[in-house]
Amino acid sequence: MNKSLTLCASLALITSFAAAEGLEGFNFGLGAGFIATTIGEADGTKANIGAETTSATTGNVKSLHYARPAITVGGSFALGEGRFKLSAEAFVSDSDKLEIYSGGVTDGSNTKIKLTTETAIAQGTVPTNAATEPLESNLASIFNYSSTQGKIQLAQANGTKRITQGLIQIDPTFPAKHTGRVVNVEPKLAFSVSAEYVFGEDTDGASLGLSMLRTEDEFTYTHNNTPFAAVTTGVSIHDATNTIEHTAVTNSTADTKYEESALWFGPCASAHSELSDTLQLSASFGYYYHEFDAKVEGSKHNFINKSTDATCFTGSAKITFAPSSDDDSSR
Amino acid sequence: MNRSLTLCASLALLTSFAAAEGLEGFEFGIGVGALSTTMGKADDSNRNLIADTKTGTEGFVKSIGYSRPTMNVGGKFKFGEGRFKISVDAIVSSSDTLNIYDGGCEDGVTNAQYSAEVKTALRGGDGNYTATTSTEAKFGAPTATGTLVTLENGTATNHTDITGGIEILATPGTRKVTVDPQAAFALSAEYTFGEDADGASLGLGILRTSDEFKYTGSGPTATATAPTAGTDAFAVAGNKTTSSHTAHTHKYDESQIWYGPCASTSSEVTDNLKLRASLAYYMTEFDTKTDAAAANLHAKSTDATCFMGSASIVFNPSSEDDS
Repeated sequence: MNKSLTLCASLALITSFAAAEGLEGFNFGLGAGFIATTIGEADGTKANIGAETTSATTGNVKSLHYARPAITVGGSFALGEGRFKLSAEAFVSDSDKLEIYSGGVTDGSNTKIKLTTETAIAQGTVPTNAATEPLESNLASIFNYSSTQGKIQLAQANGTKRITQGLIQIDPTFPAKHTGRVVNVEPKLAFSVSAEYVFGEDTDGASLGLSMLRTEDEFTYTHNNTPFAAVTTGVSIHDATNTIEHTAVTNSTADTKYEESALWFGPCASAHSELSDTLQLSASFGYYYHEFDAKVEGSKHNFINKSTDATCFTGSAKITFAPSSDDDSSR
Repeated sequence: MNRSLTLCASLALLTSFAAAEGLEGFEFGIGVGALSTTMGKADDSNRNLIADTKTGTEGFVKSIGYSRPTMNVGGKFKFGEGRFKISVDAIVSSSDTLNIYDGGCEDGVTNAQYSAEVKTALRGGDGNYTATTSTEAKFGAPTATGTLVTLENGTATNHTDITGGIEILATPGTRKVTVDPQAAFALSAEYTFGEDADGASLGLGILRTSDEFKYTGSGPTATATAPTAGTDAFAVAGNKTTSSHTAHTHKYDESQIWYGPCASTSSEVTDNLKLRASLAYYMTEFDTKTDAAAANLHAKSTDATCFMGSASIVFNPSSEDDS
């Protein structure tokens, strides 16, 4: 709603300029384009995205990228005898949620599983004839030991029996399912305002300038704190009670939304050519920079740990209507 | 090298057309632009990327994308009284390796299971476990608290110095995709509205890319620790990890042909210089990237899209001739 109002305000501003000038130098149009956004630097060394803990200062992911087609609506107003122009353009894209990252942890030091057997490792049913059964048999019972898992050896030295080796194999299986790191983005309305110098005719020229882009894409970082399933098989300690701990991942599994608006700045270029007296084809292109602040929430894992550079490309091709040309031709 | 030859061949073709026409209708230019590539559909339900195993027919990632600024060099040739034009552009960008995916393994149910094996050595000290007979050593029943009891010459002894449990620490494997961007080439055929030297064009284009992808995967690891040392302590004799995902690094560097609509406008800056802005939207389908010895980057054929935009300064010798 807020964004729609901002768009309306921008277009109203340009329209009011146009009205004040009797539509002289004003044109508006409709077209198609795209916005391609990259957060982080894929060729850099910093992995600032996707923290594993609430206190982590580095993440696992260097860059995220998403691109979307858009319908563009815009208008421009020529100033200074057509040498300059101010333009506003809105980019409307499908608001379907985009899953731009799905993965698991890469930092095992922070997310690990710890299987802890209880101290009572030997607790179990001991044969009633323990005093008379051979050691190996008793071990087999106590530890659920099987001959395929190792070998108990007795060594005899000077009449003293020593256990020199007794192997107990614990062979649990950890299904390492890491569904817990997902980044979704819901694209929102974006719009740009640009000021350009015009070469050639105002309705049939080329322009270079600077532009500002405002986006309000809504990111959701889901961090599942149970990346490992329970141990399922292979714990073969007889009657011992084993506990599974997930260490270092202690906070909520809830999604964390970040929906701050972002302002981007950068150069832009456009060229427009007449199709008829009042219609032109306008192609424009912008390259923007922005720095995302750290997206930190006290009780949740961080989406962006440190300030992260981002870049955005926009492009659009529009059919524009210039009422003033119509006026000119009728004179 | 192959790409350079393709570029040279394309430009030579265009130049020969131009020469045949005495540069009439020929233009060439240089500019900057951007190329944004997205493999897979982020708003789809299919997860075709990043398989965990070499036999996996599904991955766990919906889409992977990357973009890069580019320098564009190209030429175009107009014919049909300026109504049509054929353009060739070479799109060159930094060849720095881009990390476009960092993640961990996903499918633990069938693919990324692993285990840690703890082999403990039960050690006996001198004098312990002396058998009551000449051939047997005995364990007795554990106490209610579970400490290990041995029978030494028939006398039960609690071994309370066995403390702590066995710990197994397991860490996941990793999955990483990098790309080395290579030169790309675009060939387009457009219909021109307005003046031939100063008009707007709509048409269709072909893009050829040869970006080199590298999919690296590693298996999980696990380490185990024994209970606190004591005379009768359990000591770790060995660990093992198993995973159906074997560590691998695999390169995919097939060239890819993309198709789609394109639009451009060009406007005069001076008599023989123009600013040209062009946009294109390309589509392709990546085949399954399968390697018998490695996990797959593309578990299934994957739709991909590519946006390209550029702004170029174009030199038009024929305008000079005209003037």
